[in-house]
Amino acid sequence: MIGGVDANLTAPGNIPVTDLIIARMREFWPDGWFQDADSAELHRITEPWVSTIGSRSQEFFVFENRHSAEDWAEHGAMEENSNTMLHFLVGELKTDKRLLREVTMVCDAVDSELERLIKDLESTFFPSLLRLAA
Amino acid sequence: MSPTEPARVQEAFSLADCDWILEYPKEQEQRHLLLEVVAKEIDEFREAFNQRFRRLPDPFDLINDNTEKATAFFEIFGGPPLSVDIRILIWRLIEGAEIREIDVRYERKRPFSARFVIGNRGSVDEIYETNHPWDFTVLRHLGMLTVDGKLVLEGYYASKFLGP
Repeated sequence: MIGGVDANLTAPGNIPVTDLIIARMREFWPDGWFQDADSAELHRITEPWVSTIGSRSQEFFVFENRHSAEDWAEHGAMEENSNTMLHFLVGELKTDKRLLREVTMVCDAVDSELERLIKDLESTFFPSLLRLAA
Repeated sequence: MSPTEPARVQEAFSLADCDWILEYPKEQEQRHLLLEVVAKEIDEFREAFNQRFRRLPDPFDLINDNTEKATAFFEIFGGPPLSVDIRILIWRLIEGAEIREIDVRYERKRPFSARFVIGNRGSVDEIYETNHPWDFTVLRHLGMLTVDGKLVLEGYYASKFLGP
């Protein structure tokens, strides 16, 4: 995705980051569709394929629903399809930073829903943060 | 379905980063016996799964599809024996079924029981009940995330992926 807003997160190296993002996205967009960045294939986010094979991906898109996936494929970013697709990039392990990895979520604009999503991802990656929410 | 060969299990352990399971017992004969029992447990799981869902799961294919998830599955056989229903439950969680409800009954030195309700999103409940004491170990491998700040259990993971 060109343009958009990056939400930069960090995750420990010993957790299944992509899998956890997919699990959270199933709640966020229950009718969502998954696409690996290296493939044109679309999969419903609830398909077992996404859990077993898609979860290996380090760069992927999640669309709000089938219509938004088709809309993005046909027209790219437009005002009408704003925030109907999220682009995730899961970085390589950074050995110089105690086995952490960077995770970037690209969206069109961070609204209150996405703020909640980002907060959930942060506390999923680092549950110690839940202490701060109390 | 042809029976799983012990040699195939041994190869799977190696490919799925679970060859530590065969470090004990030391005697070759005992190791072979262990592989035979595991092969039977895998076949029993596949048959029971097929009866319930009308499709045959293949843990050996999972090694190529997703080695980390294969590790989670084959690691089962490095722990105490699990009931066949719980082996099915684990496979369904690896496939991405959502965890809807868990009830666990435990009292020191008393019978153990657990009930798991899972399912594909928007689909009917699948219920797994057990009184098999070692089945509690499944709880140690569940993933955890937050949704709107609330606890959601999701997925089944290998020991090395159980969080920071």
